[in-house]
Amino acid sequence: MMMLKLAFRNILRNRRRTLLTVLSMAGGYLLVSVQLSVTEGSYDQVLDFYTRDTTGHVQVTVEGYVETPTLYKAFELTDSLLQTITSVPGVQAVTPRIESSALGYGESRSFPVNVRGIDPEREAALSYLADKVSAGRYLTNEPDAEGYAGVMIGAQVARQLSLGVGDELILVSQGADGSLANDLYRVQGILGQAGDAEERWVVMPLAAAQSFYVLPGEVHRLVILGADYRDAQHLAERIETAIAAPELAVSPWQTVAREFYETMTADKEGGMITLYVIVFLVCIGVLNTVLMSVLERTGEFGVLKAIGTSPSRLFALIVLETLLLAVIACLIGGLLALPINLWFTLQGIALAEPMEISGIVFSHYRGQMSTYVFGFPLLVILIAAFLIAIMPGIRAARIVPVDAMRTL
Amino acid sequence: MGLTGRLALRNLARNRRRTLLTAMIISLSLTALMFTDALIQGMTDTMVRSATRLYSGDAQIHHREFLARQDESRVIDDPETVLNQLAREPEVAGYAARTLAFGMVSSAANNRAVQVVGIDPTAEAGVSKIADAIIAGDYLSDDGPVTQLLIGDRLAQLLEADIGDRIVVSVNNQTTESAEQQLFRVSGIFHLNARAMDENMAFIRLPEAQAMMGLDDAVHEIAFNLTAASLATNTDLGLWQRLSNERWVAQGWTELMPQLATMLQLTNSSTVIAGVVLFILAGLGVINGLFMSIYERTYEFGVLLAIGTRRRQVFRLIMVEGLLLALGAIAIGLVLGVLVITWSASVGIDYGSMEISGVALAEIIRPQHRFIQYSALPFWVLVMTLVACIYPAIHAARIVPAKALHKSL
Repeated sequence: MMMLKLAFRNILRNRRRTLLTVLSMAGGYLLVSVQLSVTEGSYDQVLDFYTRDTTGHVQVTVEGYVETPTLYKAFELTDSLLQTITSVPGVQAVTPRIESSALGYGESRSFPVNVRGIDPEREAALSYLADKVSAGRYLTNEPDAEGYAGVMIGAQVARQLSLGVGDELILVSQGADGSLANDLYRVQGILGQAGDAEERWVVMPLAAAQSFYVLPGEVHRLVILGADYRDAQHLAERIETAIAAPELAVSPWQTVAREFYETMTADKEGGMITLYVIVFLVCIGVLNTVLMSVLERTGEFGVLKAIGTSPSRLFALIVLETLLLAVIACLIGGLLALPINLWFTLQGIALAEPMEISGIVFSHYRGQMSTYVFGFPLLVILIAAFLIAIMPGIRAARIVPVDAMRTL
Repeated sequence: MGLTGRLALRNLARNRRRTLLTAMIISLSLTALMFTDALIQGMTDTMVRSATRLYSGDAQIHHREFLARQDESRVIDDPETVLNQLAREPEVAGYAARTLAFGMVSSAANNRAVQVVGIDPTAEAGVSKIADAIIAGDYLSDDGPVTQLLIGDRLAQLLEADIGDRIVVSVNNQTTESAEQQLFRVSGIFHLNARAMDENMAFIRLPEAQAMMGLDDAVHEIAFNLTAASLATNTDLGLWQRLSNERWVAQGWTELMPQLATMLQLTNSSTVIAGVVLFILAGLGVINGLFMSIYERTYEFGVLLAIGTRRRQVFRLIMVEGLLLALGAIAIGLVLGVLVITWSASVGIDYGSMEISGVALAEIIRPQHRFIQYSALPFWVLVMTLVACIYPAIHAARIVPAKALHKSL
């Protein structure tokens, strides 16, 4: 306690120096905190949306399908498989999908389309597909009065083939058995606007897709949503043990959207390098003052040593002083960072033009309020302060009383 | 060098460690600024080059309604006139006409919807890098068979197709308004290192494409490069008007890819913000360092002022110390900066397969030297240091001799 009191008095002795040192450390803290908040927040928001919207958190597929999806890499969807996955702790929703392409015909023209076979109810519980219907209504499993299965089509498909709600769409493709697949469908709804990711989609009920592509009872992907996208890796492991099927691959979204994940990691690492450079610059400035304050007090330390203070105590005193400065700086930095991070979290900065990075759309800079955003810079500044204090501390500890007291 | 200069120099030399530490803050700030600028420059350059020189070209001419509606019936039906005009433009380095169709490619194993592009092999080689990106088989040739087809390596993988394999391509015929199918054989596989292109594009020869699409001599797009890539951003150039009329329009990449242009602007403004923050932090460091040296000399300043030195002279002394410190530090910073940039440029920074707004950073990024790094940046660092010196200098000039001379423990 006495040490703490001493350290406190020492840093209060030269207030201007303390203020300048604290300010530069607080500036460092503020910068690290705000940058972390914005990168974490922006990615967090985008990832939460993207994983829900497209990949889900975990996918079950045939081995190799995630890398090179082809029509034939399908697996049988049994009730027991669905049951097993649903009962894994942490699983919130599961939905099967079939994905392939076909040539669509309207009245006269043709247009290549991406076909998705889905389970309408399960899909609605997992992704935002149901919210994207811009005309007509959401997909239902029941065929219409004439026995044609309903489909939802993307905006570009509707425009290119001049189709509206209630019109007929013909699809031609190849079935999994090599036969020519063709069938007639009734447009039930239109998805989104031109320019959306769904603009070239034709979405149909799973059963219709299975019979179109001759994949009886089979699917390409089982998309699983957990509680949190950050926990996907663990969830994938749990599901893998639960289903215990060696021919099936269980991949977290990091594998499914590998390119984006790598880009994101590289981006975050690049940001960290800038932060370390800034912290390093701050450190040099702080080292300057701490060294100075030790040199200034050489005489005092000489006296302290002469009356029996141990070198380790002097060292501890210097370290304590520097850490105290750092803690005060972090408090001030934290107080400054709080409103800025809060503003970014609540408001954010909208980009003039949404930007697409490896297939994922960013429209806002957003902040995040979390222990990481405030705790990590604190840790960095404290560790840096400790490292800074070592050299001046050793210097103070090594002082020879006789020589030191001559400077008095 | 006057008395003040000599004094300042000696003062700086007195406590070398402190001078070195303070100088290091200034030097490293300059190095950091230079490197950031070089990196952004290199990144921008790579991105623009990937976006334009890989496939798109610096600028393109389309029917005015083609891009907005993606409507394949909006064509340039008189490409000869446009091509002749392009040949007369001195700023144009290479040009090629293309037909674009969203079509279907099917192999025995799979089928996929892709962009089928009809190209003139010789002209295309002067605009895009497809000819150089062939990793298996051969580039399209004018006198080869009509069934030649180029696909990307990702697409080849998805179709499980190899050189010589049969691929059925179907596109919409604009005249008959029906699907036109034709058999091709994979004659070459390319790798542009950009997923969007390696997975979603197939190239055939222009005459075959025109015949399949029922276009006669019409094309959808004429892509061209300019003698210098930076010309494409200059909208005042006369050629934009000469190449556009009421039916078609010539646009540079900034207009064709507004996302990329915004993205680059955003990067620039964030560099400026980072620079300002760096300046503030470095400024605090400099103020700190100078104050330390003034505290140590409070007694001396007291003596100086007591024997009749003017306050202005003390002020000037500190400013000169700051100036000398800055000049020395900037020299070191410049050398460090050159070394760091040269080294990082020779090693290169690999961002992996990053894709921004549909543009892949297909190559390793090499930070670039630029004149501003050696002119404006050191200048601003000098200004920053001098501004930071003002406060300590005023403090030193205001020392009260009686108090300063009252030396105690």
